[in-house]
Amino acid sequence: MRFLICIKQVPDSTTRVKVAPDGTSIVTDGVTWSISPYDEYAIELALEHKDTAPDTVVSVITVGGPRTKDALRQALAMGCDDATLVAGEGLGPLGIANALAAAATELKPDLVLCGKQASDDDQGFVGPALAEALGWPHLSQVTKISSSSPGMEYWKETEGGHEVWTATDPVVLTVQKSAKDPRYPSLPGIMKAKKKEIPERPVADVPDPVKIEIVKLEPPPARGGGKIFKDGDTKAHAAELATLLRDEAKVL
Amino acid sequence: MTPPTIGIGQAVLALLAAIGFGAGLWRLIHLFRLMRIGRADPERWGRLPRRIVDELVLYLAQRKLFKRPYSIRGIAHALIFWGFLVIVAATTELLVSGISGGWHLPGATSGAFAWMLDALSLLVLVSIAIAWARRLLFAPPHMHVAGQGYAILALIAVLIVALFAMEAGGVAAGRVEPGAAVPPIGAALGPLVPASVALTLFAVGFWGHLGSTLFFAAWLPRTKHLHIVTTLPNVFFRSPRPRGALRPIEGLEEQETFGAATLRDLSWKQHLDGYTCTECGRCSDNCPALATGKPLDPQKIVLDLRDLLLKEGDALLNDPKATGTAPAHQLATKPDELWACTTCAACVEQCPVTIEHIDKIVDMRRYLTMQESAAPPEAQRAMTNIERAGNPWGEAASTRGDWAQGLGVPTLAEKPDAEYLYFVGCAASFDRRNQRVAKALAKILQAAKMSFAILATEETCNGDPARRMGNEYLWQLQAQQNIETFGRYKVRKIIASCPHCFNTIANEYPQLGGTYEVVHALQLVQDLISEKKIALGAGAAETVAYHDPCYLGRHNGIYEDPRAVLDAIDGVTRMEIAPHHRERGFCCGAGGGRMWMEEKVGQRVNHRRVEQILAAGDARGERPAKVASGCPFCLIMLDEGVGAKGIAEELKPVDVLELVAARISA
Amino acid sequence: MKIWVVSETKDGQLCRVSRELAAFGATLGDVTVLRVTGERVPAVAAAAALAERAKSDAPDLILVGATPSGRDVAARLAAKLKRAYLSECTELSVKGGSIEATRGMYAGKVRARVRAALPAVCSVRPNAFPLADGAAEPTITDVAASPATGLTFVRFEPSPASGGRVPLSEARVIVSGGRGLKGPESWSQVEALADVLGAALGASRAVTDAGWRPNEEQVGQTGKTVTPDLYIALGISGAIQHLAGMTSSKVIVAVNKDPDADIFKVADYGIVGDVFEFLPAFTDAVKKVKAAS
Repeated sequence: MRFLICIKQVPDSTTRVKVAPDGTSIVTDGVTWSISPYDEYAIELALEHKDTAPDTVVSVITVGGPRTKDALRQALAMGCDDATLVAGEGLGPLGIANALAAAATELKPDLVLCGKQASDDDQGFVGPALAEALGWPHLSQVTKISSSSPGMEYWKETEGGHEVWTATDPVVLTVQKSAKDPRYPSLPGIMKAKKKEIPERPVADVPDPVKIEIVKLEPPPARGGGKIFKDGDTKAHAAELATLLRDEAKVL
Repeated sequence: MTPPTIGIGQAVLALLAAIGFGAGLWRLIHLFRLMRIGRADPERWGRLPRRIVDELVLYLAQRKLFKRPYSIRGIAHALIFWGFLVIVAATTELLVSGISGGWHLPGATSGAFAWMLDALSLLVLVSIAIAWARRLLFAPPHMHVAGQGYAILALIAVLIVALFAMEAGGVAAGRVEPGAAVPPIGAALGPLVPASVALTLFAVGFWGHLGSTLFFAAWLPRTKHLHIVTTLPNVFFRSPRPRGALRPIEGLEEQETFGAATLRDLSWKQHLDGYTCTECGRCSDNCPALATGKPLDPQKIVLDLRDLLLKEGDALLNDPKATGTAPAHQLATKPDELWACTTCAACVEQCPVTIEHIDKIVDMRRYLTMQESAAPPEAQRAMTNIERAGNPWGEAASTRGDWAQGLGVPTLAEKPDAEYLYFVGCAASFDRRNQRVAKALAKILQAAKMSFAILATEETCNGDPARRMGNEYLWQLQAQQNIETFGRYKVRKIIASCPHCFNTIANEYPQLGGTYEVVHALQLVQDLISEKKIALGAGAAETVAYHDPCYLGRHNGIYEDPRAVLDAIDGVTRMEIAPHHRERGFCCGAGGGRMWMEEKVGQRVNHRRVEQILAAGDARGERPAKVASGCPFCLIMLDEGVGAKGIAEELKPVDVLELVAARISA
Repeated sequence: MKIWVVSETKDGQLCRVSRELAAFGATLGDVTVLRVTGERVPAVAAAAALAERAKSDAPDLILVGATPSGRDVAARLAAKLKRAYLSECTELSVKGGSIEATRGMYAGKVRARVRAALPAVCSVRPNAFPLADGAAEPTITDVAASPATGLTFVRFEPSPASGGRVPLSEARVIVSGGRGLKGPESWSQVEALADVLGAALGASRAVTDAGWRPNEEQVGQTGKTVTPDLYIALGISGAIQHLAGMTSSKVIVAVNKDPDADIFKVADYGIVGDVFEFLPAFTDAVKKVKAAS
């Protein structure tokens, strides 16, 4: 069985993102890059399955520039078997989905996984779009794969529990966080990954009809210097707080 | 005395000696070959003068035996040991004269020797009686009270009683040669022996003494009494590293496996440690993990490895390709045992025969972490954070210097010629409670007009937690990063307010080529106070307990400076957390990477420590208002402890630096 | 302009977010509120049915409430129609032939204004658009789901401990309690607030250690890392191990009687005071605010 995992390299969650002077991008200097967290859970799901069925081949793929090879190596270090880089930058969302679909068609996986959304654009589009480009069904919010006869069961997280689904055709899964953390790479894994060849394939001439333009990025609010009510009536402050949360912070 | 072996007896004795010693030697050779399954250990060689001094002090003079609270028992053992040395001389002399038919070693017939022998033998006999009684009636909690212990003691008693019988019989039967001294016990007991049995008693005593000795020689290498042979090399070959420094792994990336994957990956010296364990249990007596109900038992760690070698060593000897059981998986509970260790070094401190427990535990952790990626999940999270954010909490690296905003503390980039680098560390940089300690130190240094700077965002985790958890690779990456930064700024002197930063940079960075003058903040502050570079104002009276951080105290011997600083603060009455202070200090529970792991079993180590502080206060009739230490992790753990016990207002954990800074007028 | 609102219903009633979108859509043009009928309809089947209808209907803008299932359907639909998809928008405006939206990026830490050409598909956050009191209930047009898609629903596995609450790791709002709440009995008040907010429950390590709350609720270094829009920390001091689990929250509210508590250094809003005075007053105020909007 072959699993194909589509990953994306993003700024690490511990990096504090800064908006660049042009106001439409982020500063990339000094950013630590890593695999998008939900993609790591997808890798973990695949590797967990491989733990029980060692013949499973877990392939990982990404679309991006040369720096994204580091993310592929991270995935290899975790235990994936092989990695491919689809070399291309600046593609729109459908272009990425189509490029991945073209590569997937050649690699012939039985199952495709990716994180439910990337932690840079927070969109959650490429998974379903890839499924569409492949003509496959997809299931989102999957937290678990269990082997059962005759095939595999996919656990989809919903309110109050999980829906368990099976598929007759190959399917794309977008993966949600689960209780099990993605595995830390072993040192033999890291060493092997360092030496592994990562073939590059050019982005095929794929349709890329949609472009989403960033008009403006607003820097994240600086932490600290919040409104702290110190003296006075706690009850009154509580009421005022509710209003502030609705009108100012817009979280209510 | 003329031996009773003249004639055929000489040949019989010679044969028995050959069999006895031969059997013993056979076993010793086997054990030696098993030991050599272990890997080479280059650090064990060289530094001859220091090793000889160690031998004299630790082996011959038995210094570690006398450590509190075992002082009296230590004296008893020392007497047994010294007595035994003399008895061995006497036994050798008996063998020689017995086989040769009467030729005595020089000095063997002197009065001095006779008196020394008899006096010490008597003391040994008394000590053995006490030891027997102790095992039987009030055995210490972790001593292995096995039948073997009783048997060995009994055998030694038989040896000595036979000797006395021989002396008594020999004197009564007139076997003392002209010009030879009469042994005192023989002189005292001889007249009581009827002439008819004198010769028989003499022969029985002679053959009994030598017989049991030769039996002992054959049996000794199969018992824990082997330690009397192996302690000699075990002390000689002890590690020259500073106690706080773990063993480096050269050429990490070229290795096939990592950590103690098999018995072959432990060094021969680590196997020798196993042979040398006397099963006294002093290590376990003092282990904070064991004391609070964790599965870790330091003595068991040592003995289990020994038992594994004895069980599987032959298979490994016979087949160079065989690997055997991974030491970290010798038992299903072994990983839990290993992860419970805080690397506090209480075990290492107490061990009378210089066994190195922590190295074994870390080597097995290295296997679990690096080879199997089987460190506890929260530990892995901390390691990932160190890798990606440069600190175990995953706080944004770009905010590392924010604690110093507005304080006029320059970065090295702004002031490259600063004399000292203040290496702040992750805790003081990001933990808001500990940021106050960093600010306190900055205030002190500024008051003393010291030339210093910080690295701010150019600083990254020193790697200590990763190394203790067995991730040698990550430690090397972190250390190399810092060493490179230090090199760029030509850093020579470093101040650390965290003992873990201090320990790693001072004792472990040199392994990677980074050598600096490193000082802990409290050492520096003590100097500043005594050189009158800072003046401490008057203040209210309060009792402050001092808690020895393990990495300052036991690992680096820094006990006095923090106390001197406390004593220099007007109004502060320093309280000791007796008896668990100084070398017997009780860990706060955070070391060994345990800060980043869950504590699911037994009582929290830090809660036990808080109880000890309160008990020490009660014993002297007054609880302290504060407990001061010199480590950010001790501070975090003590804070959690007093909070959990609901006494956060009554017992306030602080850092000594905060107390000093409060007395410096702005 | 032709607007579609792909809606969800609960117990036969149109969900609030769908009504909000219908109201907003009405300000832009003609609104059709659609609902895909059927039980356990996979997103691909719903999207196929809607795409089929879109061929003839040709909506300029398709709006979907940004619930997990809504986002799922919206993404697949946008891919089928080869349109731009903007997820979790909090503001929308049409400018010429484009749609401009405000949405979060970088795990919600950055506010982004983005633009794409119409026709487009947008999933929209609840409470992004106001709903006038007494607004007329829009008519719903039902669309039958497309047939079997290669996916078979087998069974539902309920979660043991969630007690009907949103899972902590995905919650938008979290109410979290610490030792300052004094004891497990205080949690009835905490739960009351969480109910009003539709929030998940969190707890500090001290509280789960003491056995007041189950371990699953622990937020922090060794517990769960959470990324809600709103994190309310009650009686929590803010030790670094706890902060490590929640500093990615969009808005942090802290209530503690200790003005020096470290939690105030990361709080966007804080009240130094008695948490037991705060709780009932705040719960009431939130009820009123929610009812009014």
